[in-house]
Amino acid sequence: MVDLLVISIDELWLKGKNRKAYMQAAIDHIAAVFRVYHSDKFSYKIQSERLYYNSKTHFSDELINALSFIPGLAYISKCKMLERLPDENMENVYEEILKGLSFLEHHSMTFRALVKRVDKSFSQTSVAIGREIGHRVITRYKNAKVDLKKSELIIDVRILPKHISISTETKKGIGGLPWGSTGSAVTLLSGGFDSPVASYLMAKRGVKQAFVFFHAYPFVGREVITKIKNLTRELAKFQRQTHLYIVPFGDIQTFISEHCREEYRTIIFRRYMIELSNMIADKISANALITGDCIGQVSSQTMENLHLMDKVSKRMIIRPLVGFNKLEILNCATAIGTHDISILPHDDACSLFAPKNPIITPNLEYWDNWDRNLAIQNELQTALEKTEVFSVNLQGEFFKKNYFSFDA
Amino acid sequence: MMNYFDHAASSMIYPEVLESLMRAQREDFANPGAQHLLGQELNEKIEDYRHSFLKFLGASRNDLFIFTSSATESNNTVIKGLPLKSGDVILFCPADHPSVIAPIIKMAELYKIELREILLNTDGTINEDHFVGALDDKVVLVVLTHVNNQNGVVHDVESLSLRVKEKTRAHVHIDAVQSFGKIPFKVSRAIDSVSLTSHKIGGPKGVAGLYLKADHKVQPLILGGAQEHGFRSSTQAFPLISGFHLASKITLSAQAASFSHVSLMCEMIRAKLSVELTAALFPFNSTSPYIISFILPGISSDIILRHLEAKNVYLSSTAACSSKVAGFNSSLFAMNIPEKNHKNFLRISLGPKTSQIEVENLIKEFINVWVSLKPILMKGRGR
Repeated sequence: MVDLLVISIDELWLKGKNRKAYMQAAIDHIAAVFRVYHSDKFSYKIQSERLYYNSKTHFSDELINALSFIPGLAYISKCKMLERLPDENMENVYEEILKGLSFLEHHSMTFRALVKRVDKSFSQTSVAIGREIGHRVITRYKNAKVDLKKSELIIDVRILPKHISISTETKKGIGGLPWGSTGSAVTLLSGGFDSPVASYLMAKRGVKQAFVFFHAYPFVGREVITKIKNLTRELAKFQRQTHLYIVPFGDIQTFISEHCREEYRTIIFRRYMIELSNMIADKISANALITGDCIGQVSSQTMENLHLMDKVSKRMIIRPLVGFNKLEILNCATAIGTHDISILPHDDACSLFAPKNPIITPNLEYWDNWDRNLAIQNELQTALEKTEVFSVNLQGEFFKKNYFSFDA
Repeated sequence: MMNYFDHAASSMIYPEVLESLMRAQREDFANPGAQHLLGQELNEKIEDYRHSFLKFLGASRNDLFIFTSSATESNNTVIKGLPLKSGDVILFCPADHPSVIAPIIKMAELYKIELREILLNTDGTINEDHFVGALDDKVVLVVLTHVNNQNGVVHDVESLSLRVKEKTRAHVHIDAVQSFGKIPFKVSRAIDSVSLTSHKIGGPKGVAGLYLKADHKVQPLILGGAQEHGFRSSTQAFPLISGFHLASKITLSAQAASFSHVSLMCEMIRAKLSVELTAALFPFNSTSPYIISFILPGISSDIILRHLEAKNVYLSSTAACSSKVAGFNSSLFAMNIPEKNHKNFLRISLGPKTSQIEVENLIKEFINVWVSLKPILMKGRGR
């Protein structure tokens, strides 16, 4: 009998030709996590949509937890691999299952058995085996109750050609597609609730991301950087590695405020955030921008104003939250662990500069022409040169860099 | 060039103190509590320093001076160490430093102690009639600050302590952190304890002092190996104590000369800023020349602070310990500053080595920042 870690890949059935590349991306990401959280050597085998990892050392909860954040993984389960006995004798399997559930002596729990015959030549049916397991568990443990719909515990049994696998501890992964398999993007972080959730949703869809924060120094202090780093740290667990770009934006805000109509300030700030993000995307060859925009949330998020951002952006702007309600965003932020960081107050330069009557339906002629004869491109270039760059690894450790690069 | 105007928060270490600190860290590594010669020699020196500090304060040789880790610890030791009981009264000023306020509030919660607040006049001075009126024999502790860390107002702690002793048998504790080495200060028989610190007078951080009059009733806060005459257990940090002593010696020997120099610099800043910044309010009177504080309505003071730091000019918006708290500030409120101006409070604090060039840079950059920010951030803006 061997202890294994079984990882099932999500959405792999959707992929035709790319299947192999997707699988490899997931395997590479898993290996990177293993290198950090598992000190011993390990090997793996691929069987249908599942990866079976084997090692002499037991797999820690920390490892399983870190694996559960890898995009593209559906389930991670600790599993025992038992030799098949002759004549379809299942006694060793039942015994092992009962042994593994000893915690039911002290805890009540609902459960169900999930049996699958990979080897269809096995003559006992899945239903019959499942029923037998259920019967034995409730007879042995008075605290256990069968619940076929909302069970707290799933006893997963697979009949393989030579073995039978049992697993009782299953952790759900975030699912979706492997990291980097769908492209790369620059994600604009603000320190609020929305942008981290937007990042997570796109991480789930396999988008490799770098993060950019516009720091309105000296209008806001250095404390906000700690907050942004903490948010990045939480989001980095969904990336294999990432970068954080802190762009000094205060001088640009001053410049804009000195030269534009007050009611246009906010959307013009945003315009140059989009432009700078594109400049960073140029340097690191990213395909798209990701923002936490949500339609109608604030005045700069009217359809007209969002359209203006699309007009000035060289790249597609992905707005995964566009149809989310605030409460839905907050719930998701709680689930991914960014809520309690985002909720901390920080100085916000946008409210400082906020016009009394922000423009909702902008005049396109003014928008297109306001910067004629202005040296704002120089300001952008200076900001980019002064941008602080950090590389961030899987464990959320920051390393200061002095150059632009996606790969550490 | 760095233009540093936050000496009230912390000052740079004197080069000769740093030198002696490095030497002591390297050579005087023994435990002063050890029985062997290496330890005994250090212990002897600590006792000498203890007596020097008593002398610096004009105290009797029978009194006690103990070395602590910070003035916060010194204040806590007195406030938490007095035998207080339900029904007792503590008289204190809510404009004082949090290391005084927080332990007082905690003690009041724990032992059902009544708190009475010292009222301030609009110029930051203590309302003496109210002060005397608050004294009765239920008062067991009066905490006074010699120089307020935020507005720089110098309180006549000597005469106030005498008033306390005329009417009560209360313990009188003085926080002299901002005055030690700057404004002449001696303990009188009416003063029972005094807190001092090292890092604001060119000494190292991590060491401070607490003076206790011979007949004090304070119980030690930290128990263990009975160091510091049983009053503060912990292995004594000889290098830090020695550095604190040297910094005090240097500071005190130049105290009068520094005072006249700093007064001159202070006058320059006040005169120039009050002319150039017509909106600025200087509400406080009888202040230490080392601290200039004012209110500049219109732009949040931390924004001014950061624009100045970008120009290598460093000052403070409120005390360093509370500057992260946004909006309402209870100590500014106690100084009769309206809440709408709490975010407009600025403090410029000087050191004995503050030069005229630094002062000129401060004034120039301050005015530049103000002139450039005003049209962007103040009401009635736009084009």
